[in-house]
Amino acid sequence: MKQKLLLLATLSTFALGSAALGDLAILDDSLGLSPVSVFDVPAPEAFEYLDTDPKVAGVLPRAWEDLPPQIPHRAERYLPINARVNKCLECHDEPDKIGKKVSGKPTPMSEAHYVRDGRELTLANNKYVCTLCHAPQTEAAVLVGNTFQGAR
Amino acid sequence: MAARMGLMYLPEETHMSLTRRDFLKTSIAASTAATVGMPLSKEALAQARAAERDWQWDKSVCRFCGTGCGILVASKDGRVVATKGDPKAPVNRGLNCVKGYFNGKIMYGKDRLTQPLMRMTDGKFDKKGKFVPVTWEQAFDEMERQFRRVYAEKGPTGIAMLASAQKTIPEGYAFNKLFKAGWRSNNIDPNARNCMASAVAAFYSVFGTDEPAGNYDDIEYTDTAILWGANMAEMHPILWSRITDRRLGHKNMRVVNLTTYRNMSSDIADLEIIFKPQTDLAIQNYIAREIIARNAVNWDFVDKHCVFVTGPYDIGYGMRPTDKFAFPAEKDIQAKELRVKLDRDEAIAQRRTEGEVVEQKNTANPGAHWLITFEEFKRAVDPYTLDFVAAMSKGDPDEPLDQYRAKLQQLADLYIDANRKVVSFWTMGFNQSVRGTWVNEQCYMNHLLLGKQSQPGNGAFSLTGQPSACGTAREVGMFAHRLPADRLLPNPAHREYTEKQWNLPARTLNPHIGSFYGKILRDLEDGGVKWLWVAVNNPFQSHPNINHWLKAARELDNFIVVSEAYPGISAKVADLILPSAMIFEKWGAYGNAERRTQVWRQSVPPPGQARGDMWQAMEFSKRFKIKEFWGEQRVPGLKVAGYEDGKLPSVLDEAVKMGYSPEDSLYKVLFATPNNLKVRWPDPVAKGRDNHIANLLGDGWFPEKAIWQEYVAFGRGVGKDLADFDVYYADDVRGLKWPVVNGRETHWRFNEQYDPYVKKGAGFQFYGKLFKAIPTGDLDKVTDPKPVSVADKAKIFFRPYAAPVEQPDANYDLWFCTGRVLEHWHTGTMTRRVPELHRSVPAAVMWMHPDDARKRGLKRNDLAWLESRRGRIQIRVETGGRNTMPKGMVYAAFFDEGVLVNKICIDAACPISKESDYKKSAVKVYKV
Repeated sequence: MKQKLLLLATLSTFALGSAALGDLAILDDSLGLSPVSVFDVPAPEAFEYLDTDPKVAGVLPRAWEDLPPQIPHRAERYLPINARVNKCLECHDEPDKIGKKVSGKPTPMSEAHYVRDGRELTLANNKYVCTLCHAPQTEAAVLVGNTFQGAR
Repeated sequence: MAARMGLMYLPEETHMSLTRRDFLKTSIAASTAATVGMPLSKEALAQARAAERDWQWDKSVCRFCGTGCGILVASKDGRVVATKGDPKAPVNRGLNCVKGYFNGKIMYGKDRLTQPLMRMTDGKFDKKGKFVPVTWEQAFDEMERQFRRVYAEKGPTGIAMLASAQKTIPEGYAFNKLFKAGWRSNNIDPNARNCMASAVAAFYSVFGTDEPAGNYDDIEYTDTAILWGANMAEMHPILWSRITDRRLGHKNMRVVNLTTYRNMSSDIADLEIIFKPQTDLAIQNYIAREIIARNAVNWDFVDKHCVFVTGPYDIGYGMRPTDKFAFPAEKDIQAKELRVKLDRDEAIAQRRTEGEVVEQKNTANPGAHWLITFEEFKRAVDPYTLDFVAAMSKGDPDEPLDQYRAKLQQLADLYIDANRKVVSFWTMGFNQSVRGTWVNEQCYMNHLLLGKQSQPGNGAFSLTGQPSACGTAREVGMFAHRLPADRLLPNPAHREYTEKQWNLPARTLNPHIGSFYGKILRDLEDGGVKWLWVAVNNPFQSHPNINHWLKAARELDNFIVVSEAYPGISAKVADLILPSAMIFEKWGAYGNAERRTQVWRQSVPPPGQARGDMWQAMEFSKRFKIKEFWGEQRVPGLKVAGYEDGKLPSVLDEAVKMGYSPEDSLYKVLFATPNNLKVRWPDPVAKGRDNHIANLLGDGWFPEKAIWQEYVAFGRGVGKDLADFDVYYADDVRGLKWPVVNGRETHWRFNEQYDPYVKKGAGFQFYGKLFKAIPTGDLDKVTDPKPVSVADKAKIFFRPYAAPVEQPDANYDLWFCTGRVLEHWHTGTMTRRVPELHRSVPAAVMWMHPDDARKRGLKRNDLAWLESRRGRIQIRVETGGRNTMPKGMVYAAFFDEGVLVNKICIDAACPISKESDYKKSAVKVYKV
């Protein structure tokens, strides 16, 4: 059915009469992200966050340059971030290495996370809660796909 | 190593749990077996930047929450290629939250709707048919045919629209006008009803005018942020980044999180208070009692600017007054709509007797209120002692009572400290409650008693959930009882003003309040509404108790049109799906929670046959003539002075006298008016951007701009002043906070220093005009019905604690609460189609205390049944992660259409605001 929807998206720029599309009739149950009847009560799949080691698996691709990177490893062991403890900073707060990512090492936070005080860079307090912008990823399958194409 | 200056004041030993060196020894980062992860090389980066040279950048607004972050949208060849936080936007200063960053991908889900789909069998509409692609012409033909069938049978009350606080301001205005002026139906109500209505009702009752006095800069001016049922860390993340900034950078700043379970906002808070659902009503009164007991009332402020009031207690719970439509299991709770037996806490809180059976006899006018003396007010809050309130409100059974008592005292200390500025923030924890209006009023009560209101860093600040709850729903008045700029349908002067502005014959507008959001769905179930248009919201997933509404949609003789970008649950149960243009595919304006109006241009064209909702309203209106609606109409229940009972008069003769022809189309009379046609497209303000709606309408006008200029007249001179269209589009403008008077925005309302509407020398003036003539009485009743003017005053309400209508019992033994998660927006139709966001939180889970799980033979990730009186669903158990539930309560978000939590939720509501209570259902949980 997803194929039919895809086809619909493809055909949509043409003016088509309904007669010609009779064979494209779509059962309502098949629509959407949970392709069952709205009266059904499906069992959701369990999910786990990626337990990959970014040293091996690498970082995750970004859709465009200015997007905050997704967290390429499990994050719960470093959470929660509170006013006293931020374990993310232990690895990613590397103001001397900004823009100098070394393969296999944690990605240093970008300069946008700092305020400059003379020569010293101080972490901007409004960037302190990392999870507001960065999220870990599960292995869940994409539900319908996305046709976004960036510049790259 | 960067210095964390902001944290220097914190005790050294707790600064970091591990030293950096220790941590590195154990961390995965210590390994040198590095193989991958190289970012772009310098050359590649330069190449990428070069590729950006032909990107078109537009200022715009985030599509998601009520914060209203400014973003920049890059497009190329008709497609969005990137978005980023707008560094010049004062709201977010270049930052976005995890979902805000992905605005650029929300339009590109593979199953984007690009063609109208109609249920058909053998080439004809059939309610039981399958969806077949049709042309817009065919779609509108059937929509019109069904409209006429229903209108002929039932008149203006048989049709309805479930509208949205995610529509643009001009869209909201256009639909409001089409329904109220064209079709003479007030059955148009937004999903903001379920989000902000309690806040609105309290703004009206306390201040006489809607929307907050303060603005987001309060965060940087204050030294105390108190969150009441507002998990800002997840729901308003960018405001949370500002609070975090203030908390870490200012040593006197304190943050309090009042909540019914531990959430991410507790992580930065200094004080966390876990209270029992709905006992916030009692905690507020404890604070008021303390303010009085400690002699901390700011009498200078209160005497000059405030009055004391109260209202009836027995106002019902916003449910149906009959059990005719209730499922068998629902009947015991539904019966409480008529009468309830007071429990011990309510009896103390209301100065009554435990076990007393109380008739809910004030359901017809639940918002009535009257003046009382301060002495009466003091007597009313007297039972709310620390002992009483601590014992009845403690929400975590494992917390020692002494510790909890001390926390309540600290909370009172923070409010009362004369040297401390205080901002209270709240959202759905207050608003989505069967006593949502009361608890909003109580928050103002304490700020007003202390004189901490309408000043930089001091004030009660109602945050909004949706991007244009303020702009589109509230300011435009797209509610069943409202008209633009704080005008109300039952008010004859307001109707008359609106008829003049809209160039309508007198008495065209229907004075009978329409059905509110939840009632429209009930009307669908009982056959009152048979033609329903849904746009930019997803009621069949998001409204509570959906088993009723899903059945009504699919099994009864009605016609449901859903304008949508994606096939969500509401589209699935529709009869006709209209493909809508999304945010950056059309011109628009949103109004955020700090009264900031922000605009954008069409950056890219909509895909396929998708078209903007504004075009849908206007194009459909071309099919109707005024003579079909402006003759006499039946309106059952209409009983208003100057109107025959149950009837709207014919205004056609008057229309002819005004120069209209009965044959004139609604399009011509309501939208393409002579004045509006003068606003021509193209226009230099477009700076070369296109406008698919202007192109499609094809008569050379610029509908968004013309409608804007028509609309702004409503707010001018009454404290709701908006600037002209072009002003907001200027390159250096990043939204303006209304009222915009003489080109200047207003930072704090009601304060002489900032608000041009306050009289010189007044200091403060609560100049809102609504509900400012009220009777006088005592705590129990009106004693003198003669209206007394309380012009320019704010009202300090006494409202008692009342128990939730449904509470855990032996069978349904847990509280259930629903809401959102940081990574997803509302019903997930957009964010779940962004792979990065979907993968970050792929399904709704049920947070539960590990002991509660264990008792039921459950552990993390197990599949469980979650069941209430209204239905049951399957869901996975989560005992860790971002939320920590107290024993006795579970939480699951509503974004997941595979886990329809609104099959569980009760559709009780605040009887004053009609906002649903999503936070307090009783459930049981057991292993699948």
